[in-house]
Amino acid sequence: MKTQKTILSLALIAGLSFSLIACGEKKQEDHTMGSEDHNAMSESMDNMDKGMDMSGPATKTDLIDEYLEIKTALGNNSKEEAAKAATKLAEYAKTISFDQLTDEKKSEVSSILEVIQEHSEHIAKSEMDHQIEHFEAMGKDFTDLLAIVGSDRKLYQQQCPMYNKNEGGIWLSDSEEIKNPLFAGKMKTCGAVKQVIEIG
Amino acid sequence: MKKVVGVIITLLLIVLVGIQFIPTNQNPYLPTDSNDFIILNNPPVKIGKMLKTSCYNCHSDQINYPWYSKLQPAAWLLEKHIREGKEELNLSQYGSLSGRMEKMKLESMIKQIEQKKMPISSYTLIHQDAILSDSDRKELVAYLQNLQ
Repeated sequence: MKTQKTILSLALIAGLSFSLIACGEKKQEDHTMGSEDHNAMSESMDNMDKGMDMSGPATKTDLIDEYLEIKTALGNNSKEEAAKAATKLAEYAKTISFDQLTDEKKSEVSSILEVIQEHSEHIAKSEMDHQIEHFEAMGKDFTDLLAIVGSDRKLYQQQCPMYNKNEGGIWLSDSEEIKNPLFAGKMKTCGAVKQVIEIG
Repeated sequence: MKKVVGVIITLLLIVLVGIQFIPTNQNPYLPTDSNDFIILNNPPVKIGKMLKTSCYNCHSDQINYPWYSKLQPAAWLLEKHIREGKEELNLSQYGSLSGRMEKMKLESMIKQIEQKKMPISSYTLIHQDAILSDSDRKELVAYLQNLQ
């Protein structure tokens, strides 16, 4: 009886460590495969986009489109749609270039794009509460970016004072109407226009 | 029945011993330079100590490996944690980031500590000294907020 118990607990320990290995390995695999897929996917999506509208390299229109796509997805409580758009946005932020700017502006823009890319990467792989945190922070980076490179459409910076325990949070929208993206589909009408970003 | 159990145990033991021969891949312990978060910001001793014990063992180039870090499968798990941790935040190279990126990392550190997502529980499970009490968290967060 005693030996049986020892054998059993030994088996348990061995089994446990084995599953740990398997688990660790699998996750690692997922990780690398995921990022490869990710690249392949955004590449093919890129190509598809190019095929459809012949737009060539990423433009600020692409950036704004995907940002607004994330905003709509979060407002609709759709983690998956937000992640999809964020994957594209990360790729665009990485590849876009603003050649017409002065060197000084260029370095500021590239540091903004770097941060936008990082926010997007987090939105692409996170749960919704974390997606929203990064999306909210990214609103400020987008505002700063557009102040330098100009917007291709009229945008509204909107703010809901209730976000983050009444600290308040902002986002950009292409419509004056409030559709709050910061409460995962709830509190839809909380917010007001704080600033208008004109075409420039 | 007993025979089957015996065979299974033997097999598992062979695997367990076998994987010990897979080499471990540790990050070198690099000297700190002026880009290091603690050198750069020169925090109070207590804050520096918290950062060292609760953050630096995954988020820096100065990792103090625990005794089990040479044993598989623990070494694999550690390696994965540290690789992912450094990808997100490397406090030894904090000073090389753009001002905007530094602010973003600070904000993320504050959120992760406030929400008790960091240090991760799989680490504090074994490293009890890395656990931050509620008052530790408050103190650390207040310090980081001050840097913003």
